[in-house]
Amino acid sequence: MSELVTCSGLTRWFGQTKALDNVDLTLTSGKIIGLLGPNGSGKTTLIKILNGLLRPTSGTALVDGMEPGPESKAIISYLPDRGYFPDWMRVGDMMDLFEDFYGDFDRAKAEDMCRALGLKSESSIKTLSKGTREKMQLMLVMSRKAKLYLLDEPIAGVDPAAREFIMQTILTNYNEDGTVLISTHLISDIEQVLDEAVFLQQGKIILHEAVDSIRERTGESVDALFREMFRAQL
Amino acid sequence: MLGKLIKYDFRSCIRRFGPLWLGMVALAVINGFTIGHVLDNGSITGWAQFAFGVMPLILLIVLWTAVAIMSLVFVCERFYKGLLGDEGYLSMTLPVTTEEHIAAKAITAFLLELITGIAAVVNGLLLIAVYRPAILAEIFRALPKVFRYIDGHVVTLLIEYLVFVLVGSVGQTMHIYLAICLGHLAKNHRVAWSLGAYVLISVVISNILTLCAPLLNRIPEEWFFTIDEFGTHITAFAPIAWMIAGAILVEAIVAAAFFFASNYILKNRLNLE
Repeated sequence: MSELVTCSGLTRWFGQTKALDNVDLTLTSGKIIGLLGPNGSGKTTLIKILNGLLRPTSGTALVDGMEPGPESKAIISYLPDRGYFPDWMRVGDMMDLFEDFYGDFDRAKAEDMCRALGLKSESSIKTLSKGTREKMQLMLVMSRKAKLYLLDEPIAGVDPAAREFIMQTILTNYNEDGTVLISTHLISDIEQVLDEAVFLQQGKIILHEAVDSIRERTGESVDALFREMFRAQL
Repeated sequence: MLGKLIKYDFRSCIRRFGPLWLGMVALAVINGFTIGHVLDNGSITGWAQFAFGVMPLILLIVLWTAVAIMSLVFVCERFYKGLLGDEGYLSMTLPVTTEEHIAAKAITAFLLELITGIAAVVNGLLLIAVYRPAILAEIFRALPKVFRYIDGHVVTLLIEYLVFVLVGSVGQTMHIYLAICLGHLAKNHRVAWSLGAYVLISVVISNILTLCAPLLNRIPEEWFFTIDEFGTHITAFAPIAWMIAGAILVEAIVAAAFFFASNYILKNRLNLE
């Protein structure tokens, strides 16, 4: 397995707060990896550094051997924890934009998914409900054949039915040669699909292990282990 | 990639201003008609004159003012919301450089200002064309005569002045962008900090210019003008041309400095909320 993500000594300060503390992490291709930790543990900061939205205070982060920049952004498909659609756009404009900027975007796939959701190309984005906008954002992100998917809290704050839709969309559409990094604190919903788990606590990685190995070693589920380790913070 | 960024910025511009530009054209035509048939017509008075003569004129002036203000708001909003608001999570993860992002926004802003300026001129001409076509015909007939009196020196100065205004407009946009980027460095109240940064940059620039003013005062006036009983005469075009060229250069340097400072912040200090 080739190394897709390599972080060494990654540290990020926000004023007096250390969001990431000397993180060393290596992720390989072809995996679904859970980035797990309670709120404020540094998950979003790590994802933002990987996709170039933040610069580390010290240390390095490489994606496919490249420092975050236009070249690495071309192979990362990123789903932030908020809506990012410009409100002047229509559904078709977003398709055009993804097609123009990402060579790995499969427009036919995205259109099929939008059609299934009842979205028309000429529908104005600002008229869509919040839930539909979130689903559309996920569909666009998963319509790319990216090397690395960075999904920041995709299932937070949604009802169980929507959670199932989201997980189904991710699992049926991701590029199997690539890696999916999903950050969440809702482990029970995604545990079944994970190959590896990375536990973050106060900016430090306290565990990075294959999920099967965790179950074998501890005799409990990842969710149970997580609850045990983070009991005080949950 | 720069062209693609401009394409989407310009698309957003057209969506907002397209209807307004069309509205300006429609109101110009209506006013050309109402000025001629209502205001110039002595038999229509009272409320009818106000409703059908004065009101369209007021609407046209309000629309012109609104378009001018909205252009400025649009320039600020597209940069702030598009790169540093929630939309930044999309735009700043596109595979393009920060230089391209700033350049695309600045070029779109420039095009918007240019089109708005042209639209205002076309609007005026259209109004005249509907009101009294003969006046417009007279203007176009007189133009060749005017050009005959203008020699090469004046044309050079006019072109230089036009470049001065255009570069100045780009500099103003870059000034706004830098202020927004500086405001982004603050933890809270980023819009308020941006406004403060705008004022601060203005003060710094005007102080630098004030310091340079004594150098300009040393240049003898006779180099440029002579004043006699018939008025002021330009005596030498070359020094004036060089002076405007120098001013364009200063404007360009300031705009470039603003560009690089904004780019440094977006590249190294980006911290989306």
